[in-house]
Amino acid sequence: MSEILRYDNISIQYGYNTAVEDITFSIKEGEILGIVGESGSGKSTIIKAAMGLLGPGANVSSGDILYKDKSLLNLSKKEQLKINGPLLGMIFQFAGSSFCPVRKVGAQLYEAMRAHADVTKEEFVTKVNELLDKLGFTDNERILESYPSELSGGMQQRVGVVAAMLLNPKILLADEPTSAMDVTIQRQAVEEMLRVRDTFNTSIIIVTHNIGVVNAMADRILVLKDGRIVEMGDTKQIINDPSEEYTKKLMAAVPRIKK
Amino acid sequence: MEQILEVDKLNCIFNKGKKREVTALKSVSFSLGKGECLGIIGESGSGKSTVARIVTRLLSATNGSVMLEGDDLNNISKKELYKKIQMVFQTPVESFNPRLRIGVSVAESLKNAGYSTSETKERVANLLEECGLTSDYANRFPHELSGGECQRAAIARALAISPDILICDEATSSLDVTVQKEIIALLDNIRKAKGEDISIIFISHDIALVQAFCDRVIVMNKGEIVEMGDTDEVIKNPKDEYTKKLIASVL
Amino acid sequence: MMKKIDVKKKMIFFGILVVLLLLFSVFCDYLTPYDPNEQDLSIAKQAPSAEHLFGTDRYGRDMLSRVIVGSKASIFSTLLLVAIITVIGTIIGIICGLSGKVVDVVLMRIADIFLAFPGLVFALAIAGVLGGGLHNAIIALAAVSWPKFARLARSQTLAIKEEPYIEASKLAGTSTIKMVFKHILPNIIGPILVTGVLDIGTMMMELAGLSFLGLGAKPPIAEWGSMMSDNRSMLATQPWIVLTPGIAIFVSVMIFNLFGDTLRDFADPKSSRRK
Repeated sequence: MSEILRYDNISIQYGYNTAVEDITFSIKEGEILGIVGESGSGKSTIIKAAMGLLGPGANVSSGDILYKDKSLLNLSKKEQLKINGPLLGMIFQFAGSSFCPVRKVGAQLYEAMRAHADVTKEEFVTKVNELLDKLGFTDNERILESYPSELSGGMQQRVGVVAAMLLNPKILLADEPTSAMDVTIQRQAVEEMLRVRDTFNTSIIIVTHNIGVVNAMADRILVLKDGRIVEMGDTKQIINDPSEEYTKKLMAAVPRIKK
Repeated sequence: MEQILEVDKLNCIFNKGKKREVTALKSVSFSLGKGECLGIIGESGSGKSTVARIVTRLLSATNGSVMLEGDDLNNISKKELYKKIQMVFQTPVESFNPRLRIGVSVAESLKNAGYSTSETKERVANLLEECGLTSDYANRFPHELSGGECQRAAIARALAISPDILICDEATSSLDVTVQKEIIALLDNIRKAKGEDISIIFISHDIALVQAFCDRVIVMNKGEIVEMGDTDEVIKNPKDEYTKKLIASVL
Repeated sequence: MMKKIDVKKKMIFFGILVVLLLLFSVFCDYLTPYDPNEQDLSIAKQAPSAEHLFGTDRYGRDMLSRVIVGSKASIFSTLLLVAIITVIGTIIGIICGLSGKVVDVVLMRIADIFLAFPGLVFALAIAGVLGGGLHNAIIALAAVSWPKFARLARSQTLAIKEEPYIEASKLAGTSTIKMVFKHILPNIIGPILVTGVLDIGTMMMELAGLSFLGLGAKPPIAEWGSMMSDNRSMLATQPWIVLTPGIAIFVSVMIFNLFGDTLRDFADPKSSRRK
């Protein structure tokens, strides 16, 4: 397993406020990294920086984000298009609302793919069916011919994963992908992402406040507080035997079912 | 155990435009004992919040009855009802009027119940302190407080006129886990201090939280109660298929 | 952040202009160089000069004095009109928003009826039935202008009436009347006030329009619209008699509109950030 993405001493500022300070970590091929933290810890900011999705007023004040030694910062629009999609895929918190409500899912997936690659309709259909099959969907036809609102919340999120995987990115960035979900749907989404990793050896960075989700998915966990890394390590170690005070407090606060 | 609230065969149907009806509640019956803490768990759309809104008369049921200490809810004036039932909402900051200071909002029910200005002021200060804030929070505006602080103030507001029943509708769902733990600890202290004088209906989608906090639990799915019983019993040995699936889904 | 301060400065600037304009019309009686109603046919229809800056009208009255005094009738009747429609519209809108069902439907259909007529034409008809005079002109315009505010207040009320803080206050046992004044009104009044201020200009024009058509102020009351109307036959020969009150209307309308605009930008942080 070789290193695929690296954050080097990244600091990000919103105006005069520092949102994220001196963050260094890396992720290997096929690895799942969970970034956990409470609100205001800067966890979403970190992955937005890699996609060039930091809003106006925010900027990376120091450090670099490297994809196999190539910097992802300060890219032109055109270069960005080559990165976002083919290399980095994004899964949003509200998959349902990241689709246009008045057009069919299939048409939107086709459009998304066309924006990055020169494909014909036939190639697209083959590719998407292949992908749906691999991810264990059974009614491909119906899904592609549906409007987003006709799909259940869980199915919308699964299709969101499909959309991100269309261009077969090397890394998936997931920003609170399960936070708006009921537990039964949450489980589906988590299993979907795990299947993606197992099938395509995709690296996944998942940002969440839900310790249960990272416990079920991540190989390694990065704990963030007020824009700084508190602790980073193996999932088992962080959850069962945290060394920092804050992590201990955080883990102790998570309610757990006693079966 | 003496029952304080008895809900019998509650049905609630919403009319959504022409001939489209949505059944929010289907024959829901349960009771709440004095000093008891009853959890209601279910996923979105299960009707758990609808129950809370009917019990507080923010919504009226299509049919069925709710008895509070033996009196039909509809025969109690709202003024009397709200001295007995209070609610804490899901969104802490939004449950305060953005243009009023926290103290004014907390004092509202006291003012309406005819307390004098000096009595009210003293009581508000005490309430805020009981809920882990300092009395000078009364002079702040909601947006100056964090979510957890706002929820503490919301609990202080709900406790102001010493209700018999406190309903927490997803009261900790929008908070960070560490803050959530503090709020639960606060509610626990209130229960210990008041004993039989306060009964709590704790609505949540977080099964682990309900297990840690509630004596009994109701599991709801699509407007119906699918299982009810002692919390540990239900979670450790679920009988209903849906409950099993729900508990198995928790990560 | 800089932009926000700019909007604030602009608002203060136009606010001062509005206050000056109001002060001007309050004390207009003391600011006239001549008696505005004194007729002297020997100096009728004189062009502007050092002695009579705006010239004189056909009865030899000093136009500058008449324009100054006219501000009272024009500006105050406009403000009264806007106040009436804002208050009535807001009350009806809140009633509709809160009650829902039958009351809402009935009141809103009535509002629709008023909106269905072309405003000024309908106002003309009402003023025609009631007879001329500034009071009747105000009543006529109020009758056609309140629905806009009723709709605005209704939609604002509907938007906030399910907010948790409204429900929390219901649970505190607050009566509906108290609720309106304590929780609803303070949270919906912003956009209504801004719309009201923006409407001052329009209403001033419409009131002047009615007066121009002879359905507003009656002579000898100096009012800008009726002054233009009375002398419109002299536009080609003695243009100053018609144009000076016209310019007065133009300037006041502009001041109120610019103030309303900046007020809106100030009240709405999003639109000010975009600029």
